[in-house]
Amino acid sequence: MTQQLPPAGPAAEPAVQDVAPAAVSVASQWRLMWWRFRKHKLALAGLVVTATLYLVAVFAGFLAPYDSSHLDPEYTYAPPQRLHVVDTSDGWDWGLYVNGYTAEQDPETLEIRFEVDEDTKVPVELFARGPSYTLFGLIETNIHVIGPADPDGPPMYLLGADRLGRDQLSRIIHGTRVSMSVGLVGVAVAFVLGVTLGGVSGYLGGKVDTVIQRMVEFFMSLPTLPLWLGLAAAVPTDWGPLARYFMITVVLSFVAWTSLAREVRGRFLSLREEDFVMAAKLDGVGRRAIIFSHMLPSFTSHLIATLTLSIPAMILAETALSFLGLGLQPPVVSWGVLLQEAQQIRVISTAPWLLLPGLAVVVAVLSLNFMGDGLRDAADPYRR
Amino acid sequence: MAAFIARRFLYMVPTVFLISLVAFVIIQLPPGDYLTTLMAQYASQGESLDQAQLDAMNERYGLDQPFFVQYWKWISGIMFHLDFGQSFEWSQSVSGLLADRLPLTMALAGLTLLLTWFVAVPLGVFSAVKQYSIGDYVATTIGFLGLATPNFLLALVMLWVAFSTFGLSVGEANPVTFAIAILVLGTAGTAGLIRILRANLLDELRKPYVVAARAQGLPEGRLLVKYPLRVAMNPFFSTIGWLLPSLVGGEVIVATVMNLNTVGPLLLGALRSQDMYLAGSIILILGVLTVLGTLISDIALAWLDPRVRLRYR
Amino acid sequence: MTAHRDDTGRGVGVVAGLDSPAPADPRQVGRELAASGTILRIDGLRTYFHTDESVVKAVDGVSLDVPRGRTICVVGESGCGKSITARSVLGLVDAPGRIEAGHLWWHPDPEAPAVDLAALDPHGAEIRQVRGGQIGMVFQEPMASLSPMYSIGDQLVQAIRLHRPVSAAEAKELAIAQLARVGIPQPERRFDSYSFQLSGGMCQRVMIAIALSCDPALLIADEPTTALDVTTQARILDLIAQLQDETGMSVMFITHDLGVVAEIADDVTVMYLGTVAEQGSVTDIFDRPEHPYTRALLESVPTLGQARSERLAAIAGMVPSPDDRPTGCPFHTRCPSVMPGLCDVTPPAVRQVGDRHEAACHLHDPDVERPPVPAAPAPNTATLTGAEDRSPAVAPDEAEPLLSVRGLRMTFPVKKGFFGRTVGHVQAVDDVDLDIRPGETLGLVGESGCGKTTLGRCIARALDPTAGTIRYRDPRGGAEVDLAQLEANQLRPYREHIRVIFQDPFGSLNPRKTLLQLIAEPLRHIRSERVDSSIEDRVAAMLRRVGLRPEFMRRYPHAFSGGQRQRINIARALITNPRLVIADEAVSALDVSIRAQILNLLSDLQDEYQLTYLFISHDLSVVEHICDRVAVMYLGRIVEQAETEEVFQRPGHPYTEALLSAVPVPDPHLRGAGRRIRLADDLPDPANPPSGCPFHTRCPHRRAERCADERPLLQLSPTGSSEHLAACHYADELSLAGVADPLS
Repeated sequence: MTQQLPPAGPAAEPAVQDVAPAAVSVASQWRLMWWRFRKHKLALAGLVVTATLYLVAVFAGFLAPYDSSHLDPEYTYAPPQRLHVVDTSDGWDWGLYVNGYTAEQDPETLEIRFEVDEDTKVPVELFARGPSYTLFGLIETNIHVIGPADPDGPPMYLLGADRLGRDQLSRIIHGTRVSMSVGLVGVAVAFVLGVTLGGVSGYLGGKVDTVIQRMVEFFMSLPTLPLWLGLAAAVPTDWGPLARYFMITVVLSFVAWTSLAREVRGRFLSLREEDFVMAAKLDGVGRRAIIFSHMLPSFTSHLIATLTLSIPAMILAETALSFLGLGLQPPVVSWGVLLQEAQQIRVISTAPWLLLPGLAVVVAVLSLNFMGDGLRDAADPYRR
Repeated sequence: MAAFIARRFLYMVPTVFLISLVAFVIIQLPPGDYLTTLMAQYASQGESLDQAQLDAMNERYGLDQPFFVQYWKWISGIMFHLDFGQSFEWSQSVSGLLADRLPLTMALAGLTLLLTWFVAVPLGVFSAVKQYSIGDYVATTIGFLGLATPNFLLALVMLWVAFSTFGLSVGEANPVTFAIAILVLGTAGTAGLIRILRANLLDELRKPYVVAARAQGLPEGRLLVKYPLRVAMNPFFSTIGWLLPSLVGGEVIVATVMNLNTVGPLLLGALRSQDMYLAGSIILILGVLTVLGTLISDIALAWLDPRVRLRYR
Repeated sequence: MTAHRDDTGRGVGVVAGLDSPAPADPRQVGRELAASGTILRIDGLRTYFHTDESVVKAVDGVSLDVPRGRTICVVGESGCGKSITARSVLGLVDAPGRIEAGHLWWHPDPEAPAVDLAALDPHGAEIRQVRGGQIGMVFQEPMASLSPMYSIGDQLVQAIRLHRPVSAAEAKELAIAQLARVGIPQPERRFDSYSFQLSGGMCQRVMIAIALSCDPALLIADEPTTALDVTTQARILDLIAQLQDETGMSVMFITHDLGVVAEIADDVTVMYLGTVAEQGSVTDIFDRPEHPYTRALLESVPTLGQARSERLAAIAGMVPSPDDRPTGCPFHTRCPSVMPGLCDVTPPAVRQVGDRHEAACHLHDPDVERPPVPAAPAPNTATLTGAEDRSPAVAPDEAEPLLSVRGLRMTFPVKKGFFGRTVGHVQAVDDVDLDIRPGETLGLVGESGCGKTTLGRCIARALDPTAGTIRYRDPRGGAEVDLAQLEANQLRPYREHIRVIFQDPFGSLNPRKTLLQLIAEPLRHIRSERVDSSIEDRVAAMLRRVGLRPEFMRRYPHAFSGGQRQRINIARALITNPRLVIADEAVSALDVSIRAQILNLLSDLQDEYQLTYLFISHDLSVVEHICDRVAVMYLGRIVEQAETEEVFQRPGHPYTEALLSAVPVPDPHLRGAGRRIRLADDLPDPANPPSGCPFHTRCPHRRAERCADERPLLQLSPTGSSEHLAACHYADELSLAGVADPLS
């Protein structure tokens, strides 16, 4: 085995053997991480679902049959319709349609009850014309992936309608935008705060470190939810939706940055002791280059995992705040805002589909958690 | 040990001071001061305050004086007379309102804590010891679902089930809603604890001292309880610190959904109507509770873990 | 030892496939074992680890006999399966590991039938009776093997009460007696101590006390001294031997250190890649090794007292990973006597090569037409550089020192509490004077915590020393500078003159950089060169020079083994063409065969590049082998400094004498030779060092006057040459013993 090797200098020891296959040998950290992550089936599923959700958020206008404010008071609490793919009413044939409704008024309570009418058909088509919207904020169009063939005819409620006859499906799809982005923006704010303060604390050490650590400890000792509530309530009600949205994310990140700062500081402290950092110092690498080319790359993967895992908490918090009416306010649509409709048990028992935005929350949070766990496990591919 | 506790008490002082400051800032945050709000309210009811009353108010809260004077008036009232101020919405003293609500809140929190522990400990231990068994997967799934489901959603679903299947009357407090509230509140805590306990126990089970104890011939059950579990329980005691306030916090939402007569809905109502003295006081109390909880768990840790205890001696 | 096995046709290599050997009758086995004086027979043991990707055959057909009342050493490099074998005996293999086949015949009572431990339920009551009750076990990491949650007394009492029907009070008395028996001072007080309050040596004593608390018939010791200092190791080995004398127990001792084997073993089993390579009595193994692996192992170890100029015989290559086991003989990939077509195809059978001496090698196969065995069994002993070249390039007395350290101090504050108040100071380096001469190799030795690494890092200016000067003069011209005074920017040009090779081959290479980036880093940053093809060429040449292929340049460190990474570290240190290289425990983390390769490489490079080495190590045999002069450190101070031969033959300080006497010599014939000096286990608290001579608390030659209150200075020792310095008040009165001469 060793004889085949080229002679390696006068005093060469034939010690060279390949310990790893070539592909592994030249694989960078991110490739190794991906290989490890890939083995984690749940995490992979989480990644797919999360990616899908963000795609839905981007293409919300195209995917939703209606826009978020479309209402039709004639169809209060209309139940979900089943989408038929095959038309058997007249022999066997392909054909997309939903059944229409029959409305009945309760003689005593005057409540209107809808029944799905098996006999009427509302034709549905793919790439239907509907309300116009702008894709990516640039392209104005009115094509939706699915919608009733006749935009002025009877409406289509695949997931039912709410108190004002608004389409749940469209509103959940539109809500994806705010709900999923609140986490991202909040985490971004927390990231800036956490990494800066944690990095300063961990790298400088000494008095600065002590002060920042006490600060972090103080913030961690505050009760999260009441603080959120208090701060959210203090956001003036007359602010525009955008300003309010931004303030809420700031409020949310107010709590999240502390754990990030701790993580960053801990990593910095342990990395400072690592031999390879010492070696880089002795190689003449300057302070800034050590931080940016040796230390930061060593924990960016951990940081990404931690960030991913803190997004779900933000989504849950936004949902709770909005549900209580302290977070985002209509006409902004988020899953929490949608759930405001479902505060009464009586309402829920008439229209259980009003809880569906909650299901969206659970799915989003679950998949982000799975993905984050997988990332965390894969974050250090060099662990021995 | 006594010195350790004394020192921890001393460390509490600056934290509590900062918390009170934050609470007071929140009181001050809404635009306009207390008096304006109060006058607006009276005006909306078609009444008006006379100047004497206004002056008395000004004197009482130091409203025309700088921030720190106002703060001092507020905090000294609390410290020396337990006077948290006046809730204008309820036209009642904040302390009286809280005294009404606190017992039920505490009962709810305490019972939830017990439920959490009784469910989470066996499940977490089982899950770690029988890693990758069906039971482990069930427990892990409960853990994940519990963490992913918003409390209020769970409360709504359970109430809905109780309402539609068992014909439960909704809208008033009764033992069943109370039980549901405990169950709902317990779920999130249980889920978190199962995950923490499982991860810690798995770590501990790989430590050399476990193999060494096994090599002495210790039976597996005793080994587990005496060695790794005791270490793995450490974070468990740390949970006392954050469990209490997070229970009260989670309770805000759940109790609102369930119409329970606890502090939570009071805080929410106060925040919505900008009844800031009430809201600030509740936030202050919750903050102090958190700090106290952390203190208790620190002392418990020091008492249980010789490493902590001896380091501080 | 195992003659019966050939009679029945069973043997290590013969067992084919995975099926266990034929079921045996416990009574029959019991009679056989009683006749051969065996207390434990491991027969065809296979322990496999099942992972998702593969099956790792950690132990693959091991057979050995533990003789009653005697000591058997199982020796091998890391990954050879020796620890797994030991754990398999007590059913302590962690999932996903499993005993697949084989018998573990346990026979404590010569009259009774033997018990097959492998057949017992690993969670059952029967094996629990054996664990702790009949077989005691101690582990490698004493500190981690004790629970931090209970006092050592509690843990000892528990072990006693598990197997003996005594009350709690009686158990406590027994426990205290047991602590006293293993040499723990003030056992009543220590009873309530916790593991983290004790030193590693003390913890290992407690572990031994626990393991022996129920008078087991067999003690399994799994590398019990590997994590300990050499002085502590000597005391622990003494303790085990003394307890064995008292109780007549058998000992199965797992180790990688051939010195320890020579010191304590009656019988030896040499393992390689999960199989037995050779077994026999300790004299057979050391005097008449029959397996090429055993021979190579013995030759790759530097021995105290051995002539320094000899080049070590390294074993080529490295141990293959157990999940990529070579076909045929597991050693054929590295064997100097490999016979192609046979060794790489057929696993060798275990054969008798002498009385109670057997080896698994085709060379002993009578049917094999074998090529003449090379006279020198190791392949790489060609002395490429003559022994005479190993002397310093410049005669020591005339040359100006390359580096001259005066009054160097490094103080670390001890911080505590909420606001990080400084409550004390540790003098890690305390008033050190040291000269390093151009072209020499200066060894720096001492127990862990003596400050040798800190001193090295101060000289490299990885740390900023608190006080003192480090005068450096570039031998290739240039003015003298005081490195201790230079600011970071002024220091930069000198960073290429003084380079460091770190101990940990894994932690010292940033896993996120390719070899090219790592090795070129000093060029880019110290010299601000751009990465271009000329740098690549230089990196390639350097890689080739240290024995790696240039095309590895684009690979990441994770693709390399420990030994290879140490070569990368050397390449990175030498790429700047340095004057002084500080090798900080550079070979301590490596297996013996790899260590020899790296030591040889360092020697070759020194000659080629006229390097000066500061060689920091706790391993005195390696230091004696490679160093021209030696400095001995204790508690931050240098207590002795002289030429290597002086220090090793005529030590001038009692501490040096004690260190030397503690080093186990890999020669069973020298067992018990030389003076046995045993130091107390505990190093004094470095934050609160003893007054006067720092060593007086442990010194066997301590005298009433001066030692406790007057600090001795480094002064010429009249016993040796003019270069011999020692810091002892009575250096001229004491007659201290050096290393025993192997020839005498």
